[in-house]
Amino acid sequence: MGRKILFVTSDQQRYDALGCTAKAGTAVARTPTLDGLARDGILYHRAHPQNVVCMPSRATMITGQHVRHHGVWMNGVPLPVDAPSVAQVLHDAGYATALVGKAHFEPFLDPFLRFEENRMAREGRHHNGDGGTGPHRGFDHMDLATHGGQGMTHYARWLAAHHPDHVRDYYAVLDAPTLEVNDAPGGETGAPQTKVNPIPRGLYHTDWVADRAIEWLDSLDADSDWFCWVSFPDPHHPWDPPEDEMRRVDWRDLDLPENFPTGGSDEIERLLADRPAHWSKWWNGELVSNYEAPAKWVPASLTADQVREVNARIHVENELIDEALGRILRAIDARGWGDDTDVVYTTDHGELQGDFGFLFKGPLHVDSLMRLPLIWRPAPSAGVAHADVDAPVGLVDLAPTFCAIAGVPVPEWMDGSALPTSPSATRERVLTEWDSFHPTGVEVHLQTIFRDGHTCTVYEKGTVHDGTEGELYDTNDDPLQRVNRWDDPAYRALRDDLVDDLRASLPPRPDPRSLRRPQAPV
Amino acid sequence: MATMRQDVWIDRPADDVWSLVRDSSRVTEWFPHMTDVKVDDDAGTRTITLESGLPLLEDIVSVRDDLRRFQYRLVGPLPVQHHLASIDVIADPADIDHRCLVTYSTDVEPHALAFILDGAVREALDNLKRVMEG
Repeated sequence: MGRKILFVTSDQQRYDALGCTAKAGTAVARTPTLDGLARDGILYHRAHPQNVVCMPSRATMITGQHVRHHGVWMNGVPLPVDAPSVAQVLHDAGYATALVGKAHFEPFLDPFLRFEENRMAREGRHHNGDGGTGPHRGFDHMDLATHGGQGMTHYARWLAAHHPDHVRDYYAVLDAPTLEVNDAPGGETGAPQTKVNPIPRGLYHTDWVADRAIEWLDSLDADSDWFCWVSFPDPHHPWDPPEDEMRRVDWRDLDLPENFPTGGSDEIERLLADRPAHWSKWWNGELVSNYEAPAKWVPASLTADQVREVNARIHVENELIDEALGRILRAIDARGWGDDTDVVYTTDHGELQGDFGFLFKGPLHVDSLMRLPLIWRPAPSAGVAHADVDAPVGLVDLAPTFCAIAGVPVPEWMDGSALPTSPSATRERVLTEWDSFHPTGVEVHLQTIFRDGHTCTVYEKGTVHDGTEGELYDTNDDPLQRVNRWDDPAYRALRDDLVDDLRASLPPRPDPRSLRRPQAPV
Repeated sequence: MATMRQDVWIDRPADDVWSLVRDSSRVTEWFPHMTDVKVDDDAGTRTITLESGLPLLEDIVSVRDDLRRFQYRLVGPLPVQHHLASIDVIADPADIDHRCLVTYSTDVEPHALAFILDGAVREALDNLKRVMEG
């Protein structure tokens, strides 16, 4: 028997969301399970995604590749079914493999039913279709869910079959007449994507995902080696946790996030003035460049109470994830696998959550979206000591890490390398890129390098950029990334060096003619 | 309003391709993920059923044999505010008896539908080429 791998992801979760990562004295969500894993394992303080939206980031997780190699350059672009997959590598090495929860390698919005993950769920299958019985993307078993009770997922199908009265409890993520991300308020403060959700906790998707993961683990033979990706859809919007659980956190009691500008619109306008134009244009409602936030919602309308309510709901969702993970770990212990199980926890990207006066996500390469929680608790039998690692790492390193745990060679097609386990690790840089095209013709392209405590972003020519803009934040003395040093002569040499390093380190841009087109907005 | 266009070259005479494309009742023979079509010639409409079970209600706008142009509007139940699709079959001037270009142009509002329809159309044109070339 080898080491088993429990890979756990949340969706759209900030670095500071957990007890073990929040700044001292600021933690709200109680996350004892994850705090314990961090205490026993390795806590990475500079983990970045290679793209700050779901599909590209998840494609990086499963392939171990940068966006330019796997080709999922924005949401709506499907990862080819035959794309490289670490799950397939592990499957071929004899591992039983499963993905439970949110996959999102293929678009959700699929009226023509063109995509296998949607067909699988709709037909009640858990493996490949078209007459095949084999794995899909290397997973023997898939039990899929996303952010609500409707749509083509196993969770929606289960809810409709067993608890039809609760199908419509959730917030409607999309606005039906426009298919845009909904901006309707449903909470107490008028914040978008909030709802008082009457669904009982036991029927909520977080607990359903944990239940299905435990069910799959219980189905395995005692001597199995396994790789189980448990992918919780929360705390991604909509922010509608079971209302009975909202008593845990009263939004009225919350402090505002450290990076929420309390000086009102004057302060925000000052903050955004020295940044590339899309920051201000999104904030004041002049620009919609993507489908990652409600098109009709204007960030300038965001109030302090709305930020408090959104944060309260997210804190509750994070606590539910932690408790669900605790149940899964107890089930693993009950099978006698505890000593031989590696646990890796992370998320696909962050959330603005009030920072700079914004919610949601977009082409804003700052820590709110790029700095992620990442914990690797190696199997206790491996005897790896606890470490805090400050060196920059990426989600591109996850797949090679899984290979290393399983003792299989890292395939040449993976771009990353196994995560370091030493606090003195000397990784130098991590890269993130964004490309988006909106059907109205708006294009945005940016690439970022994080190195030596500096976040440096370059822009390519697009609809609102002429290709000369940039951002440079020195997180050593400006941890909130409030001062853009791009045009500061004192930083010019460093800026040039970072830009050269970024361009030399990113894979070459593929031929535009080879780019796959988006097949849905999400 | 979003506007899109896809095309495909097919190694078949334009008239052969047009004979399939112009026939509203034969769309399921080349457009994937459609399981059924019912045409109401009097009303100038057709109702397509997708594999997902979703119906598509369409108005046939024009069938122009002289131009080899087929136009239709998607009117529901997808939340369409405006839609017009034009399929043109154009003989290759360099090889008029054996090769043609099929263009499939779509204007749609809301624009969130653009990527969905564009992806389906691309798959349909690729399949039309397979069907016609055998």
